[in-house]
Amino acid sequence: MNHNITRRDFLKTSATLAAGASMVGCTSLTALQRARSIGANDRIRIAQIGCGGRGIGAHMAGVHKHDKVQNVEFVAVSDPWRLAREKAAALCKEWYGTDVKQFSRYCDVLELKDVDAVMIASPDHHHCAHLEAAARAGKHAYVEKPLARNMRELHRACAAAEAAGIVVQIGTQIRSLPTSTGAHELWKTGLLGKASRIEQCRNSERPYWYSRLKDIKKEDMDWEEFIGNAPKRPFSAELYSGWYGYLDYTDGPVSNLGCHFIDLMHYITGAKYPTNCVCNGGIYTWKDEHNFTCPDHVEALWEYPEGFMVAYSTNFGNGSGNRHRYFCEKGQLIMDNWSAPTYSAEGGPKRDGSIRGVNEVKAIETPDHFLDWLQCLRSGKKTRAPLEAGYQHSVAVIMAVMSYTTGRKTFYDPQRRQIYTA
Amino acid sequence: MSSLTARERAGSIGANDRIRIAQIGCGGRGRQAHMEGVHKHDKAQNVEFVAVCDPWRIAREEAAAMCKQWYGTDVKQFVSYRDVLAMKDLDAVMIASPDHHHALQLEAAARAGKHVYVEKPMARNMKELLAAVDAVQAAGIVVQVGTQTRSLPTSTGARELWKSGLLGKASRIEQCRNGERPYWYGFVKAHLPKGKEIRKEDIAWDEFLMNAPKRPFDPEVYAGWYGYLDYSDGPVANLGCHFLDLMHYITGASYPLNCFCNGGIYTWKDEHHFTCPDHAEALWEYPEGFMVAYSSNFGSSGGSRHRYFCEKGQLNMDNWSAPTYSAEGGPKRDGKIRGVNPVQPIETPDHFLDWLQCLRTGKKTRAPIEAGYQHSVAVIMAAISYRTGRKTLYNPRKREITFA
Repeated sequence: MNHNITRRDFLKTSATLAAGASMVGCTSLTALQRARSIGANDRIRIAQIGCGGRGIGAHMAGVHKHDKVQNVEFVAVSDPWRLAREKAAALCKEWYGTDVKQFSRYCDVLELKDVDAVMIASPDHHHCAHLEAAARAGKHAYVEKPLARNMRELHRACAAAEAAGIVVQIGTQIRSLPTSTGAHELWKTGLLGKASRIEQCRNSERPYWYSRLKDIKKEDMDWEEFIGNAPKRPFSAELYSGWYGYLDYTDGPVSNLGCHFIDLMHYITGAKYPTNCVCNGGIYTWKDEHNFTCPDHVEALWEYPEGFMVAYSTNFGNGSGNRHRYFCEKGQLIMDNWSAPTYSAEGGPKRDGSIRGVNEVKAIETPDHFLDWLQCLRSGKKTRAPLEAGYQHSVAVIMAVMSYTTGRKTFYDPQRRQIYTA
Repeated sequence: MSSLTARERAGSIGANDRIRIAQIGCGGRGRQAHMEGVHKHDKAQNVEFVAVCDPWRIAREEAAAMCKQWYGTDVKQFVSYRDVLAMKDLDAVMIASPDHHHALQLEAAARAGKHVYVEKPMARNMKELLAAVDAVQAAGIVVQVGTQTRSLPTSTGARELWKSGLLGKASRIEQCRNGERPYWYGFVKAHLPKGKEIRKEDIAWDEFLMNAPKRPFDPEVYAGWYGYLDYSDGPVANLGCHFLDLMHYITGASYPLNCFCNGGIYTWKDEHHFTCPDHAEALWEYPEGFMVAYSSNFGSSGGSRHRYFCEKGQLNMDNWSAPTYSAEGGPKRDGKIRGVNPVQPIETPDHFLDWLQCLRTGKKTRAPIEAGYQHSVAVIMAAISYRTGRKTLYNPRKREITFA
């Protein structure tokens, strides 16, 4: 992205940023700050924004594994739900013996002068706003996927991150599996030939949002902080705990799960943007008192300029039929288990005898996704899933969402960085 | 055809009358499927081919030679279907012409009061479809639509299984029908046997073009018409209609609510300049509350499958001659389905025999005109969506396709 943003674009975006800073909800952060550079022996001070299962179980645990060796520490936690942030604070107490600062509002975290970096594991509708605000405050960021839900906030967040020069790792951690880099190298050899279709069918017997539902008391919740840029609604424990199932806060499986598939495909093949996309789906199986609005079955079809179709579908009406394949002229890459991919000549119309049998994709050792970010914080190098990766998966999933919503094929113009409809 | 109107409501055929049939379209499908399929039953059913018609001389002469061998007669040979339909002593026609002729020839046959067996897909646009369907209804002819998979005994078995409710509600019904090469390559010039080259003087070119855009004689286009959008709508229409029709038959669903279709030519770009997509996928939502997905990829033969994903299990049609079902994946599976079970076949007459029997009894065929109407609506919705990039919607009361 750095390469195709012009100076004029940047100035224009910066002006918009200055004028519209309140959009991110942190009124005191009007000026862009450059990210602090971190010395070789400095202790890296991190704040966790969003202390749900992902924040605690993935981010905090993932960094904690490396904290001694990498000389890092959590110093603050933030979540609109008291119980979540207290749980996160208790972990820090256990790990570091300290009482970390606790905030219900993410803006307060960003005010902390001695915080170097934030990890963002808030609900989907906050990712961009939180990233933009972190960038404006000069904090490095690890941010969950999907990065964005619309082009406007995507452009703002990316412009702010670039202007601030922060190190960003996007939470599409499948890239950091050693076999993903192995598959990328396999792809580059040309052994499989040109792809015609790359697909993932990711099904299960129940939508993932059902398992999140829990009882939450109004007095424990900073409700406005949760709502953020979403439509105003009265407090509801169901909306908060089950936000994965409501279109006000997320865009359903193509966006929330499909972005992993899309991102990995971009990483392996080097493709960046779809030419176009159609998406269809609805709620067929799981209609009940929760009134979830995310589709329980949906499929998106993207055409890529490299000359292949990319298909992602999720069906929660039946748990079978899962698969994840790269169908190519000389064979196929089988990612059904994306931790143990294989390849074979099966089905390739131009198979030439150079692939025999079913072969394991060779693993190429890479640091895990959290370690990679921590190392880059110090070295200033590019992360494995840099901002561009987030921009690219976001464009693809936003195209799908717009097509799902409008019933029109969406097209992407990479020069103008715009999505338009048929 | 204007002189022949609904006067000639289809003649009723007496119990002992010999049924006289003409073959319109004498390509591989016409000779090997239609003619052979009827020939198997001709003695028992008291039927006979009396005329053959094809714009290509070689094809109709071959068909005539088959009749000579079977019946010892010299059947009439025509270039144009119009001349066939003008025959007074003809009861029925079998239509195996290219896709772009089906609806027009069906309509004309109905107006001439001839019973019809017509190949799929039955129509390529709503105008021709409605004209044909309305003509059929007015004439009261017996129509069998050439979606013969319905007549496999296991298809009726699957329909009965469906009715039992054992599998519960479906959420997704899909077929991925892939191959290493588009099917139209098997028909191109290079594959024509020696002595069967297509020469200009052997072809009534205008009769082939008919309602398609005018273009100069081209043997490649004639032989490979399956691969050109001027004559066919590619795999979703030409192959997918079998899948859709069978799904309608099994589930009782009639029409999609909407459809989105995407695809293109990714693998097979060469001197033939085929225009049909070599990879396409269509997604239809049905009012019964499930998604129907059909895709063909000719860039790899891997990944073919054909499944009905349901609440209590799935119907596995990967081999549609030997379907099975199991509880696999069903979120509401209740222990009633154990293991993998073959779908019980229920004996039915084969698709040709069924038609011949109905010609005499006047009963409804297994794939009646409504079936052709239904699969056509679905594939036309996909073809329009493919061309326009818009989701198409169907209104069954107005019999109209519109855009979202």
